[in-house]
Amino acid sequence: MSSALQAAPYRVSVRFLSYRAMIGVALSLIFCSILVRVAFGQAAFELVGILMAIIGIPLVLFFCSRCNLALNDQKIIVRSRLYESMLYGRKERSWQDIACIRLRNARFLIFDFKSGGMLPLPLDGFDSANLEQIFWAISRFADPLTLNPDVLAMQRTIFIGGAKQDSCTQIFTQMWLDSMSQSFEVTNFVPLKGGQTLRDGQLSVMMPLASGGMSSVYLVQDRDDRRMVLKELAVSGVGESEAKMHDLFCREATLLARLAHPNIVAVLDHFVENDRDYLLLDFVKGLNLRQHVMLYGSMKSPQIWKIASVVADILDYLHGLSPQIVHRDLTPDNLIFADGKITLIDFGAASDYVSGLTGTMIGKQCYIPPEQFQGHATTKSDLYALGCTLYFIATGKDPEPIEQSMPETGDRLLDLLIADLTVLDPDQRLADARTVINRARSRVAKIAEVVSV
Amino acid sequence: MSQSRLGLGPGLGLGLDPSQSDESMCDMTVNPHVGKERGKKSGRVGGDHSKRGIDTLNRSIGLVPWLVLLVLWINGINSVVIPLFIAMSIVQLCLQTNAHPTNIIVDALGLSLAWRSQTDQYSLRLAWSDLKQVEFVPAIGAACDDPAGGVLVLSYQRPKNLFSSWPIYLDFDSLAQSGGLMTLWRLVVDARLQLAIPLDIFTLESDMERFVRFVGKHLAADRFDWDPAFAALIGGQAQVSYTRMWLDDMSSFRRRREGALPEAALVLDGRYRIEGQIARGGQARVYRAWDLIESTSVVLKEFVLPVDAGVETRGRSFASVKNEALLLASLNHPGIVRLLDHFVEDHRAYLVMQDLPGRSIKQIVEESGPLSHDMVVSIAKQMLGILAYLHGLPSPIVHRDISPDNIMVTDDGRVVLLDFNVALTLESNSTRTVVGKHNYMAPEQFKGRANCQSDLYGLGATLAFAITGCAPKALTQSTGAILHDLPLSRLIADLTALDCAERCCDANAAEMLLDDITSDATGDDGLDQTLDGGWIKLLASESH
Repeated sequence: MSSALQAAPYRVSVRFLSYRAMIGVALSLIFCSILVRVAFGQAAFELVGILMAIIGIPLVLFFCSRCNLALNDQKIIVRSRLYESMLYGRKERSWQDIACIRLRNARFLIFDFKSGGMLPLPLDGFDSANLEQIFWAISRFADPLTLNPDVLAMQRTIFIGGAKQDSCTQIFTQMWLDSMSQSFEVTNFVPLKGGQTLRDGQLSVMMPLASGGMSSVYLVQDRDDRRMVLKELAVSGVGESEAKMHDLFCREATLLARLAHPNIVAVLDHFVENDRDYLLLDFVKGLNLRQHVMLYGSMKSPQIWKIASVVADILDYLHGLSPQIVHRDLTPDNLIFADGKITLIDFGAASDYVSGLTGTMIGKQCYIPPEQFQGHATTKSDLYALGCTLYFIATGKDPEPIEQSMPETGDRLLDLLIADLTVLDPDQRLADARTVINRARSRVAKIAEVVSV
Repeated sequence: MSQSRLGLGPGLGLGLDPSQSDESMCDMTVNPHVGKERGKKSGRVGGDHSKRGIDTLNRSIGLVPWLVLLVLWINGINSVVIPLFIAMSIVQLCLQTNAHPTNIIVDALGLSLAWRSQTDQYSLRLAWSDLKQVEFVPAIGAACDDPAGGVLVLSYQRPKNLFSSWPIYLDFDSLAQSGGLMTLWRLVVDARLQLAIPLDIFTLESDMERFVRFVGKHLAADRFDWDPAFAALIGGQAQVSYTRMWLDDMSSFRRRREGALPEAALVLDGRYRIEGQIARGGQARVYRAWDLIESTSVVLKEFVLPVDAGVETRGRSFASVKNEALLLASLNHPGIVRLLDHFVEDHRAYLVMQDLPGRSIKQIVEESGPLSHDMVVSIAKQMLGILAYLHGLPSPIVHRDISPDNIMVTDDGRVVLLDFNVALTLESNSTRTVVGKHNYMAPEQFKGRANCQSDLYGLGATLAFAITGCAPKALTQSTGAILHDLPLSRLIADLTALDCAERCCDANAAEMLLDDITSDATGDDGLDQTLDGGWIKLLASESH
């Protein structure tokens, strides 16, 4: 296994006084001076002196009060007098000493130490680079079991982005926790840890995104700080079926590497290291459709039509290739929606073959048509999955498995489209993705007509 | 003395070393924030029923000194007001920034709450001698000996004084919220006090157990009434298994081992010696091992717990392993593999199971082709007995993953059911995700509504596999269509009917059907009786 990078310490600097706090200090100084005046009934200080204090003290604090932290793989070193007493004078603490890392009111990042003492860092005081640095260091060096759920949620927001920075609210935390509890399962191999490196140190793992069964997904960074997504398949080619699976994975990887479509995530590379297969993908910033719907509610019909036509276009591209590619795993979780752009990120290659090996299927059954269960996935199976995905973003609910979905969105044509796509018998289903695109185009044109009239 | 030395060196006062802490004192870090999050999720309301009103009153009481100050100021007594104002602001500021206790210390004299993570540490002791009653309020829906999500309510009765007007109820939230000064003051002086300690606030699970043990130990049973729930909790803690399952391996910062266990590796303090890897599934590795204490061969099933997503996710993923362990431990049937032990080591969970000489149906079919009629009937009979047992339990258990991989035939012909990883008791069966092998999964299980009949479908499909040697088609009715085995085909068809209403309603009914078959096989005239129109149609359609 590759080891963590050698001790190049992270230097993080926090400003104690943010702009907001500066105004707060000024206001409280004004309040105190008024109090003093009222209490003593006379001008206790010269007016000029008071004004100097009101403006000067916050300014001095703003510019001078910084806390400098150095974080390396052994310990946290605090270079600030202000924290001296809070840390009982021991300003070098090892990572093992941390009892808990938590957020308070989404305003302070707090390190609690087992041997007493704490280190509260105001989040307002970080600029974005420093914030990234400190979370980088936490993901590399801190024991993950000491992280509070809200810290993990914040870490994901910072690294993955997609939502506004101030949305560290209950619902947002909840969303990340739900998605984590779904995407982290018990495995039969040890996934990589934050900070581990691959390919002679060219790639380092920022954080694990999901793990379970025989595969995991990580967010990684190369030497130029470019972010990418790494998929890992931990199948040692020992058994006969496992070797076959390994071959299939390689074939799929080379196949995917040839795809070029603006709405499909680019496969950058495919390599094998330590008996594990890796697939390197482009990183797409943003939330997936499921998270988007959870955060902002179900979508309106014009937007759904737009998404339908884009996804149908992707499917049309895949189905038009020779040999045809059947995606087989189109779900709201695999479509990233950011700034109005949809990107297909997952080809389920790994998961598909894993389930092929063990015969065990987990989840996602809502989006799979009956003929796929029976082992004959065709291009029409993807259309069924598209219908289910549209149903989900229209209603916010997963469709009923192996049943035709008939939503009531108020848009009759959309209802009809979804119902046509999710017919159980593949022969009765819509013929191809082109039909969906045409329907969406005529519908969008109609909306535009109505608007222009 | 123990408190004064705290904070001097790393590790001191943590009480991680059980040898020192179990004797006289234990000191535990608490993290109310985590507890609160968990509590919300599990829907805990423990403790705060009917006491909300008093709680709000307690909080608003924190405003009283400020009002007094205001009145003084209006009356112009400034010489008193200014120093008082400053002093109170400072105290209030300190309390508000760090109001919840960071540690709980239990020793021979009493229970102390300590505020340790601020510039000036202090602690506050509540003596055991004042304690009058201990109640345990379990989380809603949880068993009364299940500490997860529950709240321990300690009731104190101190000598009467000025402040004994009404009983005060404090929980950790009210300690942490504003009005801290007054709340603390009342914590010190109030004559009647109820302190609620949610058991999930402890940073370490093992600390929680130690805390409960300590409280139990320091209370003389004759002095007050034992709350039955608390007695059950203490009793539950006596079971070693729970402790060992949850024993946090927090001191080992990183995993010691990355890959599979090598041969001759020792696990659990050298108790088990690995002899080799048997299998490797989607979730777990399976090893054969030698138990050095019992001198028997055992099977170890190893799950790697995800730790990188934090303690919450670890707990949740671990719950699935724990589910299998607790279920297996509660079962007692010769046809179900016996669980001998379970433990956690190096962030991996292990289940220790008896080692049975035999092969799974899948292995047998792969090695020597389809099974004989008699063998299939024998398997069906034994399996129906096992299913009748599982479904007939007070809280019926649905296995949910009956397939040729999970049914083992021992060398002496016994059938044993394995792998309860996804099994559920029927009451808790409401899940969105579906787990199982889809060729053997009943349609209603696809829809997330598995019931006892789903297991019958799985069995029918498995029998079809055993007799034909090829996997049945998913979501179809199987017949195992081999014409000379008509009665058995009929059983399979009845077991794998897609609609629950048409399927055999339970294992006993299927067993009766099976008895008919065996008697038919001895007599000659049975065939015509067992054939009915609809079923012939089914056979005909399959042969097309």
